[in-house]
Amino acid sequence: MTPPRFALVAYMNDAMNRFQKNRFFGLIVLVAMAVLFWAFFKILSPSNFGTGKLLVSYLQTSIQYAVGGCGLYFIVVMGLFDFSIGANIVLSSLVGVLLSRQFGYWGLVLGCLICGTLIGAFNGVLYSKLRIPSMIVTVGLMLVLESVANYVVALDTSGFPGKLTSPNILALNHAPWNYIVAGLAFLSVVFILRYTKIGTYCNAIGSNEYVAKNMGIDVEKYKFIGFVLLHFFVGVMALLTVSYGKGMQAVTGMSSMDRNFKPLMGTFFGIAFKKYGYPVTAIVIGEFIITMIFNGLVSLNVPTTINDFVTGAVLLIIVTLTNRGRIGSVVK
Amino acid sequence: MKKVGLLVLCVLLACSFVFANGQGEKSSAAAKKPLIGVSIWSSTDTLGSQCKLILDAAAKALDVDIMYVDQGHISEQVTASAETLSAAGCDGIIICNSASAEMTSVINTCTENKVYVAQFFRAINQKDNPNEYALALKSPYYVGTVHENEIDNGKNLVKILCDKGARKIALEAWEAGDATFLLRWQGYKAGIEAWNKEHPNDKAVLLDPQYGGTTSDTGRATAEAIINANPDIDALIVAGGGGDTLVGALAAIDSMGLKGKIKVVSTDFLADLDKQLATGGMAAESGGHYCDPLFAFMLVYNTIKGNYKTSTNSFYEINFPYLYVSSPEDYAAYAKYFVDDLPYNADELREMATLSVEDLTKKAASLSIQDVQSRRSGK
Repeated sequence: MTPPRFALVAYMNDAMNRFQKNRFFGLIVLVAMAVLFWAFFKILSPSNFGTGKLLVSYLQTSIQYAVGGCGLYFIVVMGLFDFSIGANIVLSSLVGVLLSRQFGYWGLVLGCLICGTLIGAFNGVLYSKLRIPSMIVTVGLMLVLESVANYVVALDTSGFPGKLTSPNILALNHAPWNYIVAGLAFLSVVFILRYTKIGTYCNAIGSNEYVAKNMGIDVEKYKFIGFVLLHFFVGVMALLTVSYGKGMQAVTGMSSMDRNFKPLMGTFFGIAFKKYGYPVTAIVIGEFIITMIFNGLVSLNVPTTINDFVTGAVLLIIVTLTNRGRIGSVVK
Repeated sequence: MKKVGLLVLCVLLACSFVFANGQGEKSSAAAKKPLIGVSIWSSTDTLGSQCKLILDAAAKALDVDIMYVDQGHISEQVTASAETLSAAGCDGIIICNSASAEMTSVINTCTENKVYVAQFFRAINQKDNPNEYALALKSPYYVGTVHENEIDNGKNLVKILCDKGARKIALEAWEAGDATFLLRWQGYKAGIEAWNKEHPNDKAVLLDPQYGGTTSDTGRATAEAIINANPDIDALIVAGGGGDTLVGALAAIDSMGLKGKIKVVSTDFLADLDKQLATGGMAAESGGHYCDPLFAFMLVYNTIKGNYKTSTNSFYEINFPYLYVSSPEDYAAYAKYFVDDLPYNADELREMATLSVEDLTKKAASLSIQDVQSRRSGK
């Protein structure tokens, strides 16, 4: 007969295993993490952190990065990477701003989206044709796009190059339109990942490219589609970013690289929670948590340099806890 | 036969050396224009593009070739920019570095390559950076520096805010450790100290800085975080950063419905400053200093031409004045002579290039709206 103490332990283990297999487990963990961070800062800084109004403000800041993170998911899940996201944001934003001078919202929206998508197609073609690692191709493209952006900004003779100064073009600068655009982007990503073969094949290629190829998946084609989708959503991010900051600055010398990492942090959340079936939710909540940490530390008057340290450390801890390989597994 | 062939080849080779050399000297003497490199954080943002305008005008007027490298105020890119410009064959470089520590590498690079260098918007502080200062004194290729009095600028902006009734002032900077920001911050603190000394019963407080980078979206996110964390602030100083940080901060204040309630001051004039002043978006701004690099350019140009002598125990230092604008009327006068037009025309630029260092220093100190007004009206 099993002693009662061991029976309790076995029951607890069994219950935990069943809980982990629950389809909502990932979602519960994500929400619990967000609540945990909220509670931590709320206790330390009760008066100036985490009220309903402030949470909405944090969400507004984070959604643009979440849209980029969702786009990045399409290629990161296949084991690829793209360093030209920041440069695409800069160039697409500047093209959008330039066209908005003539065509108003149509120019801004279509300029950002079409330019972003075309860059994606260009990246995809170069990656497939040159047959060199995506990191190398996209570093080269980053330099090219930054340079082109400087020529585009020179074409803007409005007196406010790269800036959205007219209040008639700033609907995406605030609620509800920024939420509507971001919401549509999230729903599109969920739809593509869950209900189209693009999502299935992307995951299959990411799991094992050779097996996927042997199964008859046209790997090159789906990698190309991955780049196009990534940069379409980067175009959406550019639209939200240029509206949010009321302008964009052309940069050179790889300075656009900074813009790659905030969406990437969200993508890491998505990859970590992929096994639970909620990558998009994980990206959105992940970006929200990162923004909340930033605001929490500012509310405690912590310098931004320490802020970066804490954000990086938290990201590493979360991804390690949720996505750590088993002992002996090969980590690439 | 082989020997004859070899002989002919040798003669041809020798002739080609002789004639190519002669021709090269001739053509280079005829076509050689001075090449001056500009290492700048960005030649496309609000302030950077204005600097480029006046530098391009000076280069055109003086028949000088000019080359820009944007280094984003990232230390390794700042030092690399000096190497790039030296390798590109520049005769002189003007540079806006980020931290003074970078100047060790910059000065050494320029000395090794025999390229003259002058700083703009920046100066090496003898007390804080004694080694860099000593190196600058010692190098015959370090021409000098043109800079503003950033401490006074900081003090003046704080005084304007306190006079306008602000008592809790937040601070948004762009990059931790930036030499100019550190000086401005010193000025803000000195301004608060001076105000509190004079008004012991009505003290003002300055919050610690948060860093919003040099882009408008990061500027907005940081300003929102600052305001969310300190809802009772009545003023925000956006320390600078080329103008885009301020654009973002103003967008944050606007979207939070706090326009006019939070008084904003900054350095680096915005293109739409008149509208911002008229609508209460900005309380005051110091700036108009985009001609600072012009004087650094003149220092280097004249040194290349041999008109200014460098030494191994000193360098030239030019103080450049800030303009302060706190009303739409102030800005209208500024816009007429500094935005719609350049404060110096081609003839004036050519004349400036003939001045002695002492006169050039006086010329820099005298630049103001009234100065341009009097020159344009022929007084």
